[in-house]
Amino acid sequence: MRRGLAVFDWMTGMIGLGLLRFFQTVQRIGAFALITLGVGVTKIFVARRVIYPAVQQQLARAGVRLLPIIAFIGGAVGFMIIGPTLLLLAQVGQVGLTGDLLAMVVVREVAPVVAALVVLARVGTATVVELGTARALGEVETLESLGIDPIHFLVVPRVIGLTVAVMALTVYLTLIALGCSWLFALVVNLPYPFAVYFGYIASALEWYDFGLIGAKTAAFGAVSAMVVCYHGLAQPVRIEDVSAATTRTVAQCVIAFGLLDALFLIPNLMLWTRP
Amino acid sequence: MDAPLIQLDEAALAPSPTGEMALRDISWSVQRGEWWVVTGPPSCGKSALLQTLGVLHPVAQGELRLFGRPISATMGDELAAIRRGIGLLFEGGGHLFEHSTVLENVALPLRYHHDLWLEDAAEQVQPILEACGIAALAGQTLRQVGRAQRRRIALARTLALRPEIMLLDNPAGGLDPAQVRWWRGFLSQLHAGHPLFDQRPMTLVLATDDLRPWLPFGQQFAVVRDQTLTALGSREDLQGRHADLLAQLLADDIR
Repeated sequence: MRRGLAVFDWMTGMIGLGLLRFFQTVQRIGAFALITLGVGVTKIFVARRVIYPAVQQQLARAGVRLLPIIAFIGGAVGFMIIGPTLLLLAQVGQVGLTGDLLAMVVVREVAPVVAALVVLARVGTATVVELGTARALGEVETLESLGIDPIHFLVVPRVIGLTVAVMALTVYLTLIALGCSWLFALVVNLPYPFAVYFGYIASALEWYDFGLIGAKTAAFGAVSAMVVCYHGLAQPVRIEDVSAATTRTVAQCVIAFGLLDALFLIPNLMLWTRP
Repeated sequence: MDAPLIQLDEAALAPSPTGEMALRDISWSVQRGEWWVVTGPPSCGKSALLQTLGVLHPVAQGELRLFGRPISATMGDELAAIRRGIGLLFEGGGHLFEHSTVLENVALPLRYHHDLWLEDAAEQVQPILEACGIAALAGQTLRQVGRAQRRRIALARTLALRPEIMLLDNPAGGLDPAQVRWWRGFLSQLHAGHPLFDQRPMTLVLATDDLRPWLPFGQQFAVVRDQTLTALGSREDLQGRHADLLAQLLADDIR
């Protein structure tokens, strides 16, 4: 009995400590995000000829260069997940559910999360390593000594780049996945003419869906960018800490995506279930 | 007499992240146009002192005044302007952007502060590259450049903002004699008034582990030991009143 209580105490202690650490991390990243927002807004017209090209560079890196992998994943989702689902719907005579099912699963849920995860895996991790190494090698101090704001020069372009990239790649992923699934339907001779197929999906989407998807993907991009930059830049990092910071970043971003997804489910549920 | 460009009043410095010792009880001033050489053993706090003067770290106690203004009461644009007036050359040159060219590295502060395209900044930076003897490297990336040149690139980048004060952390440390000669000659020109800066004499504070190369060049000398900075005075004072200490410092250098 006493041993059981001790284990219970230890477990509650660990859970409490974990929660405390979680809220501390959220608070620190939140403070870092507010500082970044402040710098981004107040210095929007400062050093445009340096910062704007840096933003373009980040857009190319996080967006354009990821198009092939997004196309591949979109194709895989379309041919291997949505296509067989369409086949199943046709077999059970539920073709009428196509629009609602695809809007809910692909457009609202899978595409934003997959795009955010791809950007995190390909660009986010590289950015933590890049910023962490730069920090450990004294880049921040060098920039400060030159009167250059490191948040403005290093963080703001990355936040804009990652945010816009996740938003844009979600659109591409959705279109490619839906396009490929329609091709699958065409190949296996399902009753989905082009106009009918996309008509189903269009009729299942409301105007607010576009706003919510935009907000959700922007939140995924901005939050992952903040977590990435926070772990790369805002904490003292030695070279040997960079790999641990990268692992922490990935774990925290995945948790953040889950929480954000749950958060965006609330307005979705309220809107779906309204009379 | 003008207010000192740098003034520390009973200041204590915070311990540096690199593990250097924290300095305390520093009362010291630097007048316009002076060339100070600050010496002391490695890791005694010289770098932390220069970084504090470069407004990278706040003083833990006391007051730091730069250009007559107390730093603790200065913020925003005014603090940024003070920072631009001080050039800080880190030990080993500091961080350079490896994927950028030499020209892009040197022009960066100028482009950032004056919102210039690279082509426009290049015109202004070219004379500095020539003065530092690295004009031929302008189009090369950092990977193609040697260690001695990297240090000159960092110097050129610092000079691009035309600072009034240069803080130099062991600029010639670990370089071969020819490079050391170049640094001594170039810094002498800066101190006397380089044509690049309209013959305006520059105020220099140079920290070094090795006093010998700088003994004939420095105007004022100070030593960091026992966790504080002691101003020793001019070269004459050093060779006269502080002859024993000078002999000890030079002997330490030799060891």
